[in-house]
Amino acid sequence: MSSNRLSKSIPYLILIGLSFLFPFLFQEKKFCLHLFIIIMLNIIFALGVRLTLLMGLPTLGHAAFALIGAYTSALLVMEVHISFWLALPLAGLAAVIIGVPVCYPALMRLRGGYFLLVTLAFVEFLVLLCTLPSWAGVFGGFEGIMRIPAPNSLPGLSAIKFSSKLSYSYIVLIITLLVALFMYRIDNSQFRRLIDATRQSDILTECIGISVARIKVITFIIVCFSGGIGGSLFAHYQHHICPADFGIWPSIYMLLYVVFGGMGTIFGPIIGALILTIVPEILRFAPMMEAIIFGSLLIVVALVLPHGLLSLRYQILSFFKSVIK
Amino acid sequence: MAILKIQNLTKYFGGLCAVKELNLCVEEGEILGLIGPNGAGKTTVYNMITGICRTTKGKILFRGKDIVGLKPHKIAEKGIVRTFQLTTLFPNFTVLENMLTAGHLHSKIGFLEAVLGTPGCHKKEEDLLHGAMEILNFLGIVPLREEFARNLSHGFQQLLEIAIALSIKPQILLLDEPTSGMNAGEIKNVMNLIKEILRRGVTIILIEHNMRVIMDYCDRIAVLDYGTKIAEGTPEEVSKNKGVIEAYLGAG
Repeated sequence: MSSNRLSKSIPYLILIGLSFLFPFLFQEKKFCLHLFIIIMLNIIFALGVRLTLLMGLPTLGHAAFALIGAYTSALLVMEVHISFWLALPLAGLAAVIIGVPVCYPALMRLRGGYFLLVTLAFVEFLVLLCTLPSWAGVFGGFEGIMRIPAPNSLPGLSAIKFSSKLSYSYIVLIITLLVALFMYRIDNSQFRRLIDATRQSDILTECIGISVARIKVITFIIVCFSGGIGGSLFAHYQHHICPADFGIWPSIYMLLYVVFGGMGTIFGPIIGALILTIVPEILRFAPMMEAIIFGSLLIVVALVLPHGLLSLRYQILSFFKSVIK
Repeated sequence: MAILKIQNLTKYFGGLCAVKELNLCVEEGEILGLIGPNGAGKTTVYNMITGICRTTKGKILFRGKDIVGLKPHKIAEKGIVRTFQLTTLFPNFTVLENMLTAGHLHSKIGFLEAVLGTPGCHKKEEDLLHGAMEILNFLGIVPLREEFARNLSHGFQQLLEIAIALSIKPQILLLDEPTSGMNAGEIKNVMNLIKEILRRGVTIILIEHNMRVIMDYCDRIAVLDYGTKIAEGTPEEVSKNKGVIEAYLGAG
């Protein structure tokens, strides 16, 4: 049993090992490291969106939690002068404290497109709030917050300076892996079954003695927390945040990663975030063509693989089966 | 003592009165038939007992305690479990997954231990699987455990619904037309199972349109018409009741 589990986890361990090697190998190429960090952040966001989608709730407001996390973390570090390492979980907590109560009524009552509209309104509301001229003293208005410091050194490890892209990419990688591991554990637990159950029939779920509200709130806490952490990591990497970083467009992209990759397993959003972050960068050489190629790619995947890119392996499998027959 | 006592239960949908001043006593260990023409309010009574829809007025006492206003999952926790008229399952789960979900309440698996995968959780998961298989075995649908619920025939779907209900260890089982769309052999099979469930100490309320089933299996019958109870008694008494005959066949 345990040796079986070990052999199953070997491909994952290889992938994790490679992702640890990547920043080290490309430390001279600043752009590669930048891309690596952005991909990792997008994976965190995409995993959060996927969890929302698993409840049957499409969201166009995931950037809202990132916004809360980013501003909380930046303000805590710059104004209250606490350590980044404390501000990071607090950023997640702030996203939970604001996100869960605000979305609770929608979470309980709305489904499908109606939920989507509420999340859309939520993210726009927060963006407008942060741009308010009268609150510019706190949130910095349109320009946002500048000169956000890099993470301070850990006590006892003062040799490692997190102001470099290389060391920062390891922070982001480790946290992304932790988030992914947590999501993976959820997928393989009884809790995932309950989330699926509420999506299929909330009345039956209630009637078998399971509180739908409890399941949804726990799930949404994880969604908000991961979003907040991702926002905080973004803020301390870019050193500058403004409301435009967190509007509808980033939210749409976060949703696209999941739809593109497929939401069946955690690997769908990971592949989706990876490809959809790299493709626009590759297309930079042809600025006029970028939107066209990017859009066509999405349409082709949506038409040919409606369950996401990762459903390709099932299609290949069934193709070979039909050939053998 | 009555296990379930309904007092002056009333439900208005806007101006429409679906259930009016209903009084009903269910004794522990009996099987009570609830009958009436379509639209008489039978399913609405179920919905109110299980907390799915709010009552306008009245009390529902379960073992002497009022359960009006409790959330459906709290009522299910107390042991009042129902099946649905329009068969309600988790269609994209296999039969076994349906059972593992339904057994969650009594498995006592917590969120954190499930995600962390503690040894205690593995033990609970094993017990959960064991309990699920036991119920599937009781209903004779073990061979179907890997089938998706949506692919089952209607008869097996209804058996699965009963299996799901049994996973919650009911004290009262509210069945809503468990034999609809079944042939005579299947009906006999289901009713024998229901009798066995009754013998194990579960109180049963049965909504049913098949009069043969009602007359043969019920200890007592309550008849609803336009939301009010027009008769109550043993099958013999009810079948001779003039009001009941009028409600079903129209006044001669």
